[in-house]
Formats: sequence, C-alpha cells, structure tokens
Amino acid sequence: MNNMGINLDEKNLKKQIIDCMKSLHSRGLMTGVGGNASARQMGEEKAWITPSGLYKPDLNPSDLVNIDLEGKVIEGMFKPSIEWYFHTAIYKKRTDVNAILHTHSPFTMGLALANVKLRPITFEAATILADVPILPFKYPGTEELGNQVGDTILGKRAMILQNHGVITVGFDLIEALSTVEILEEAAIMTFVANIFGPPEEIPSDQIELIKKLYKI
Amino acid sequence: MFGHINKLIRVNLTKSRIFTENLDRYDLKEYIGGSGLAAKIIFDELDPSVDPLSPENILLFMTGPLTGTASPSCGRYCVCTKSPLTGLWAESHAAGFWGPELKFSGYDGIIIKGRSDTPVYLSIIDGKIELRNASKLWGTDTYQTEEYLKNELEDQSLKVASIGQAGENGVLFASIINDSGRAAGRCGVGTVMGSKNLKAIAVRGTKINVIPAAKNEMLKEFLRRIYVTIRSHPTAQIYSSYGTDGIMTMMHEYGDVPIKYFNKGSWTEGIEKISGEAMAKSILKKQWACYRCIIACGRHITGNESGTRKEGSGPEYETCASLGALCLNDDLNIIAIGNELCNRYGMDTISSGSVIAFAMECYEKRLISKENMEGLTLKWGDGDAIINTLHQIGKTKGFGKILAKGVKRAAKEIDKEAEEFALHVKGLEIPMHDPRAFKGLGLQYATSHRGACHLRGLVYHIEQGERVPDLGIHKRYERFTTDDKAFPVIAVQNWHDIMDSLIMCKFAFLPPASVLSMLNMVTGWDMKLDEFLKVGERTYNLKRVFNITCGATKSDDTLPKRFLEEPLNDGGSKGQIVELELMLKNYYEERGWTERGIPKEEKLEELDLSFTIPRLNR
Repeated sequence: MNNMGINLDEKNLKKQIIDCMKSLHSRGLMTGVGGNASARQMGEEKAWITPSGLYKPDLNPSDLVNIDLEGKVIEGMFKPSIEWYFHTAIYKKRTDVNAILHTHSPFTMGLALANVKLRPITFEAATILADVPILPFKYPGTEELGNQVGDTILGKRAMILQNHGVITVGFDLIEALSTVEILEEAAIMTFVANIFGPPEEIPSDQIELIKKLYKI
Repeated sequence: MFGHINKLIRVNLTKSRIFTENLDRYDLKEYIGGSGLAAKIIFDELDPSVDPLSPENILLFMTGPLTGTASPSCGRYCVCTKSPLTGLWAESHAAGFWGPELKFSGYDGIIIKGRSDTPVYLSIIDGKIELRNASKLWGTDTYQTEEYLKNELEDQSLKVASIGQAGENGVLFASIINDSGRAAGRCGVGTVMGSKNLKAIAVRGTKINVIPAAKNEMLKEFLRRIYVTIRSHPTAQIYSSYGTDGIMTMMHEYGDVPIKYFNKGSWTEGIEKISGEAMAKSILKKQWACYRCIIACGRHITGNESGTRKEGSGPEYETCASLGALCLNDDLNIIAIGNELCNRYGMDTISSGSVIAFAMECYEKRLISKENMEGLTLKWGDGDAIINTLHQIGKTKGFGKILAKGVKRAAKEIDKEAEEFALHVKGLEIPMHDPRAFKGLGLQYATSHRGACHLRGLVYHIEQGERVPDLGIHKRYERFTTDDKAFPVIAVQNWHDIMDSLIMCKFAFLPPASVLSMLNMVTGWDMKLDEFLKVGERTYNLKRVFNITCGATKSDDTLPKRFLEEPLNDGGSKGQIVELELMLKNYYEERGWTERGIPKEEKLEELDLSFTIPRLNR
C-alpha cells in the first residue's frame, strides 16, 4: 500500500496512541495496567506499541516501543507489551489493519463470562460489530494466544478473549476505538434488556445484507 | 485548477502527431470528468457509423477530478470507445496505480485517433510525450510488456497499461491490463487498442505524488473522519478479509451465482470450494490495495511448486464465478491459472468464462464435437479443457478463433439452436449475477448502455435492503417484485455514472452528499446536491443518445430467453423468471423517454442536452 499522507505522521500517530489509552482508562474500559494498544503507518512492516508494565494513563509518546512484525525492538527504551504476539499476528494477516486496541471493557467481558453473545440489537451493533467471537482462554502473552487470534481475525473487527479482554482492530485508531465503544454500548444495552427479558433484535428483513454477509 | 490538471493529450497515430489542449474548454461542471466527459467528447467527435476497429474510431483514456488526489478509493481510470463487441458505447474501468500516475505525469486524459503503420507504444514521463517503436513487444503478454518497458525506460516505478496477444489478435473481448493484473476488462477496449497498433501506454510523474486540493487541510481532516464510514459498510469488512469473492456463499444462497451457464440454481459443495473463505485458507498470500485504498479487496496469491500457478494477482468474485461455477469447475487452482492467463493474454475474464461455458453447453447438446475442439472434450467442470480453451482463444487458434468473437457471433457460426442460449445483452456477455435472483438487476442489464453490466447500478444491494436516502431510496425493495423497480434502478444507474465521472471505486460506499463534499473540497467548486445528481442523469442520457445514433433500438433493451422464460429448478431463486416488459415500460416513463425508449426532447432540454436533438431526429 502507498501511504502518501493518508495517515498521521509518526509524531501524531504516537500521540494518538497515548490519547487513546487515557481515554479508555478514564471511561473505565481498562485499568492502568490492563490494556494495550498499537498502531502503524499504512503499509509499514513495523508498529508502535505500548510498553509492558507501565501505568497506561501516565504514558508519554517517548515510552512507546517500535517493533517489527517478529516482535524485535527497533526503537524504544522499554519492553514492548507482552501481547505483541497477537498484535503482530493481526498485522501479518490484515494489510488493511493499522491499529489494534486491547481493553477489559467490563460489560462486554461480563456478558462473555456468562457466555452471552451480542446480537444485532442496534443498527450500529449490526453493521460495525458483525459476529464477535468469544475465543477459549489461552494464557496471556503467549505465542499460542497470538496464533489463536491470527487464525480468527479474518472478517472480524472485534473479538473477545475469554477470561481476559477485548481486541478491536481498525484502519486507524479512530475505527478501533469506535468499535470498543459500540461493543461496550451494545453490551450495556443487552445487560439492561436482560434484566427484563431477552433483548429485541432488528427484524431480519431490515438488515438482510448485513446478516447474510456476516452470517449472523 | 484543482482536481483536474487541465491538460488533455491528443494523439493521431496515422500521422504520428501529438499535441495537447486545455481541459477547461469543456464545461466540467456539466460532465465532471472520467466517462461522463468522455461521452461528451465521443459524441462531439465520433461518427457513430464507423467500424469500431477502423482507424476512425476514438479511444479515450480518462481520469476524473478525484483521481490521484488524497481522496480514498480514487485510483481508477476509464477507457471509452465504440465497442467492437456491441457496436455501441463502451466504457471499461481499471483500478491500481496507472490513473493517478497519468495525472502525476501532467495530464488528465488521452484521446487517441487513427492507426499506426507499425506497432508503437506511448510514453508519458514528467510531461514529455513520445511515440516509440513497439515492434519488439508485439506478441508478448501484458506482464512481459510491463517488465520490458520498466527495463527499457529504466524506471521500476513506471506504470504501464498494455494489451496482450488477445488485443493484437482481434479477440473481441480483449482487455487492457495495468499493474500486472488490474483490468479494463469489458467491451473489447483492448481490441480497439490493438486495431490501432498501440501496444502500451507507459506513464510516470516524479514531481508530485498526490494531486493538491483547493481546500487541502479541510479535505485531510474530513478524510480522517470519514474513513470509518467507508469501512463501516459490511461489504468493506468482508472484501478486506476475503476479497470480492467473500460474497460467493451469500450470493449462492440467493440463487444469484450462475451455475452451469445459468442452468442450475444450487451447488453448495462446489461453491464452498471456490469461495473467498476457501481462497484465504489455501492460495492467498496477502491482500492487495490500489492507490489510497483503505479496503484492500485485491488478492495476491501464492505460486505452486510445479510452476503452473505463479505468485501474483489472484482472482476476484467475477472470475471465480465465470471460470468456476459457470463452467461447473470447483478447482480454485484452475481458476487462478485461468485468471493469470486471461490477464497475460489481455482478455476479459467474464466474457472468457462465458464463451467457454457456452461452448460446454454446445458440446453437451452435440452442437460442437471433439473434432471442432481439436481433440478437446469440453465437458462441464473439466479444468484442462478450460485452460486449453483459454489458450486457443488468446491465440485465436482452432475453435478459439470462433469463441474469440464472443457468444453472440460464435452462436451464429455454430448453429441456429445455439443462438437460443447464447447469453448476452446487446452482444456483451452476462456478468456473474443471475437476474432471476434480483429482478431489478434484470432491468439494469437490459437498459445499461454498454450491454449486460452489473457495475452501473449494483442494484442488487438495494434489493437486499440497502437504503440510500440521498438518492431517495428510503424503503425496502423486495428482490422478486417488478412493479416498483424503475425508480431505484434509475437512481443507482445515474449515481454510478457520477462515480464513473469522478472516478471513484464503487466499493467505497459513501453517501452521495459526502462524496460531493469531497469533490467540492478538491475542486473548490460549490456544487449543490441536486446539481450533482443531475450530472449522472445527463451523462446517462447522453450515452443513450449515442447508442441510438449507433443504431440501438428498444428491441436491444432485452434479456436472453433463459432469463425471461426458463425458471431454475432449485436454489434461492427457484421458479423465478424476469418479467421485463412491465419494468421496462415503467422505466421509460420514469426516465422521460418515449415508448420506443428515446429520450424526449423536453427531457434533453432539461438536461442541457439540446445539442443532441438534431442528431436524434436525423
């Protein structure tokens, strides 16, 4: 892919990663030590990833680590997030993906822990989320988890790692962040609806193309 | 000027003369660019009675105001001419990087007339235009041509659009190939290029790598926020991961995928093997994206150990269906090899698969024999037969010489009975969507100005429940209804004519108002939505008038008997036929055309097309 001005320059890309972390933390979608993020410029075979072990809301752009798609550190003083396996697995499989977020969104995870899958309850949930798979637990930070995520990422914008957290991907961080937000919003709606009974879905004939394409 | 470069190249191959002119001699707000502006130029300059393969025919390579700008999905160019396959309006669009590079080299488009005595190619490098000897290249395929020119001109970043042996040999559905696998495939535009002895056009612009916009900063900010909208469309998600072939299983559910030359409606076991998901698990190496594309539907596939399948450009949906389901072939490897052959010879994959499937049905019905096929048994699903027939067509050898004329002409030469099931509209083979599954698509095929065309409308999206409020499409149109199809078909045909003038990829599903915002930011215009949408209606009508002057009549606005009278026995559109007459009557009325399908004078005046009236009355 060519990247002539289609995405942010490196300085702004790194700032956007930091801003994302602060935003996710301030809204309770991840804890200070629990999530991570990465982003790359379109077409690059390397990415900027958050460091391991540092308190995320206090990160500075200079704390980010630049790694290649084998996880080798190209630039940065800290250790990259232990989840670099699944970040690089996704970049290898999806040329169109340039940003990845990993959160612990509480309502999304709460429903997943009870094995409740999200259904097309709003138009946004149907179009943006598609089918959000819940992957069986694999030990965090392992190559095995990386392979599992890489094997599942085609056709997905979001997935849930059971007993662990949420992964969303996008062409850029705005898309990945929007998906985290829509996922959590749909999860809250589903949670509330379930107090009173199963949530109503959009009639199938109104979202036929979406349902058939996504096989939901 | 912004968006447009404001320079057109004119080449007279007979006299080896080249000169340039300003683009703004045309009213760009009336036609925008791309195929819309090409229609105006062709209407003004081409005698509609000319033989498409004579030196008098015109061949245009055009870009649009969005081509090569920061706008996403705007890496396309179009080739417009009078088609040797249909004798009518021809336009064919290709993606990749050639279109933007033409603009970087300093030009919006190229108008080619005449015929060179000897093979030539055109080089356009940083404003310098030259006609060069291509005798050494005659007989080479498109991939070889691209490689040769990159070496000869010592620039590996050169972008080359060329014909292969099919265009040289007069295969009537020859294509023009750029970026080793992107095709201006339909209507025989490569045949016209070959008839002019023009082997290739090589372009390169080293001074800029993006065309500036009038409101550059505003555009950049707008684009960053609109990417998510483009990617929110479900097809963008599926195309990214599985290519356009990602729709294969879904379309099969509808009974839309043509199986066994539109004779069968269901083939689950075969469809699964040739689906985008199956490709992702087997021969896919990586995604491939055109200039500034954020979807990346292109497929880059692996080679195989025996070397029969080489690493490179992989097949998209239409090719998987045409060389696969249409011929009852469930072998992705054969499809991939066939795709590469079509690209190298420079032949449209839709028409190629169609003539082979047609020949297979002729073979089954004993209208042609093994002897006709030089020993080939053209049995359904026979991969070797598909590959060998593609070679025969590309070389115009043996029976390939007849099939190279397209199904309409081939049927005439084979047998009267064969004409009954030669599937085409106006001479152009049917794309890989069955109109019995989406009846609006039947109306779209019948009325499309280039013959059976799925891309001027994609109306099946509307028949799957899509809404486009900016176009007035607010309600759901059921796929099997006929009484309400005129309006949505016209709305999407007009809209896609605008996209083909801009030029923008139709897989970027942005609302028309957002696309207009982009156009205004790029050009500095202040066009309003109603004015913008009118451009599509104007160009659609202009192309219609051109076709009428070429001799097209109401009787050409029809579909093959198979779709009108023969229902499928199985699958998602079982029992359906296309009731075209009612749809066509409503369509003419809604368009403001007479019962004979001719635009009324008041309609032409309303669209500022009064200048066409004398030609219509001739």
